[in-house]
Amino acid sequence: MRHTLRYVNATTDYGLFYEASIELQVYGYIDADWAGSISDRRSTSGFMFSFGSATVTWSSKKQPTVALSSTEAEYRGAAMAACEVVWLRKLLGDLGLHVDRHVVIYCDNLSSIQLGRNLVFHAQTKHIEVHYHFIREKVLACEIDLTYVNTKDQVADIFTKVLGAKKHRRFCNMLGVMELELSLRGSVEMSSSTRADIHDVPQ
Amino acid sequence: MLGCKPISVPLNQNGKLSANVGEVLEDATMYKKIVGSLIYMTITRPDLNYTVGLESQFM
Repeated sequence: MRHTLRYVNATTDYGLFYEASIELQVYGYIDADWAGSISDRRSTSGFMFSFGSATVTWSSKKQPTVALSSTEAEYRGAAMAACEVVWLRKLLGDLGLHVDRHVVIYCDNLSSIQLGRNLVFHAQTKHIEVHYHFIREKVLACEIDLTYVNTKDQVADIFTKVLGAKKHRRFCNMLGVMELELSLRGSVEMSSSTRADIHDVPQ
Repeated sequence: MLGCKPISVPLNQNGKLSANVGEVLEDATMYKKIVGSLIYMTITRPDLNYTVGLESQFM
């Protein structure tokens, strides 16, 4: 906790920066830390979706059930991300920005990508609840495309585990979190005349 | 908090948080208050999201 506060103190001027002149494209990252919790061995999954220069929606969540394999943990995380994509597409559509192409989701687990494309390893994945296969439906409908990304470029790592200083800094940049020159700090000084105006409400 | 030494990562990479080991906090309310404030920060700061999520599991 003390560590976190020290970090917050060092980074008070950090924030998400959305650049104006940049191609607006939606893409996301999904990652899971299998059995990361030492007390109940549940996995943590995280995802982020970027639109333009910085991330617009992200999540870091401990999964409600125990996953039997890292594939299962990632696959469940991917299903969560798929739900987010559906919502994001609708929201952008409402704002008049129609996403014509599929949304690319980067994942560092090859077997869950294969699982998303086609139901392989049938015997090993029988126990995965039906609703988690939601992502396959979305891949078939060309709304989503699961793509492989190397672990070292997996931005969603920042939502699933504690990272070293270098990696943390790099992923922060990739998320669009940076030092902002603009500061919201400040105060409003009221002159004695305006203060009097507030108190003397006209009848 | 303003007087503390700045650091570049939100959590120690080698440290493990555990619910059963260690001393019980004297002022649990303070911990909860700080976590509450940190949760507010995560609205605009995705880099803190995981750390705060983890810390809020020990209340």
